[in-house]
Amino acid sequence: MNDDMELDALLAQAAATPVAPSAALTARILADAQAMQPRPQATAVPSRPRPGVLAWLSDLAEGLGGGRAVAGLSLAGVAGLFLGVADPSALQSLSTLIAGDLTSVEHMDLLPATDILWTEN
Amino acid sequence: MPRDTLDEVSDETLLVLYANGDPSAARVLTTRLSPRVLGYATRLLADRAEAEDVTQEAMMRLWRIAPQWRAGEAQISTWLYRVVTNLCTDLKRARRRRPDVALDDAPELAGANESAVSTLMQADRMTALQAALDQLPERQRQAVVLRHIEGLANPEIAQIMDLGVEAVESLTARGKRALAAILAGRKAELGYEDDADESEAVG
Repeated sequence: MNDDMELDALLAQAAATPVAPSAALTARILADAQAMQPRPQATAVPSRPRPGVLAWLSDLAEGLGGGRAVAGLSLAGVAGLFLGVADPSALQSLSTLIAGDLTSVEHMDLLPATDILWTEN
Repeated sequence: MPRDTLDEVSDETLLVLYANGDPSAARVLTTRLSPRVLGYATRLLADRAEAEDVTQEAMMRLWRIAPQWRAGEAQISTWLYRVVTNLCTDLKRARRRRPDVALDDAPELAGANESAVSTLMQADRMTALQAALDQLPERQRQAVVLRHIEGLANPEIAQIMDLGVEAVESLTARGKRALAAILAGRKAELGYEDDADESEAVG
């Protein structure tokens, strides 16, 4: 056997002799793999889904222009309800308070000074 | 995906599955690739503990690059061999840069050569081969191990070592000649002369 053949045989023997990783090394590699594995991308879904009615109200409020607009609308609604339901005498008191003690208005001349324009000579 | 199915899947597909969160892909890739990585690192470094560290680091770099891996650009095994080659080169440079450690290690290293001789007297052929490989210049050792032990083709070795194919052929040839010269005087220790005597006796 010559030197080349001996060396080839030796190298072939080495190639056929795998170096087996220990269980500890395999565990280390797999721990790294687990720690570094990318997580699936999260979509833009809220973490806590809201109940249906609340979600509907929230959407409605956003559609109407936000919380301040909804507050204004609510106040107007309450005022309208008061005007519709309240005793008319209470309303009369309210108008008296605003306009004074007017018992009757039969004629009101809105442009009293314009007569002169229509009078000839 | 079940592991039985994954065993027949390519390395590249497994890496994509890993990047997509498949829990079994990493185990199959580790089983498939880590023995080759460890074997190569062990033969370059002649130090099992360091070779294990290099193997873990190389595999960690694979996990890290998984989401950005560009399909079809390189084989995963080729990429890993290249990473290991570079890590081992860096490790050896670091060994040389540490004078304190080098001084501490000097008696041990000198002893290693002596023990290589004494090991040859009592050890098997693999130990003798490793001792001979350790005496080769680094690039020759890389080329010989990749070509004749890992069984890679010259173009792939050229990619790993960042050389031309002709340079690889030259390195491999010179490395093999040097190995033969180192081992020539140790035929009796390796048991080849006994084999020759036996075949002559039979003949």
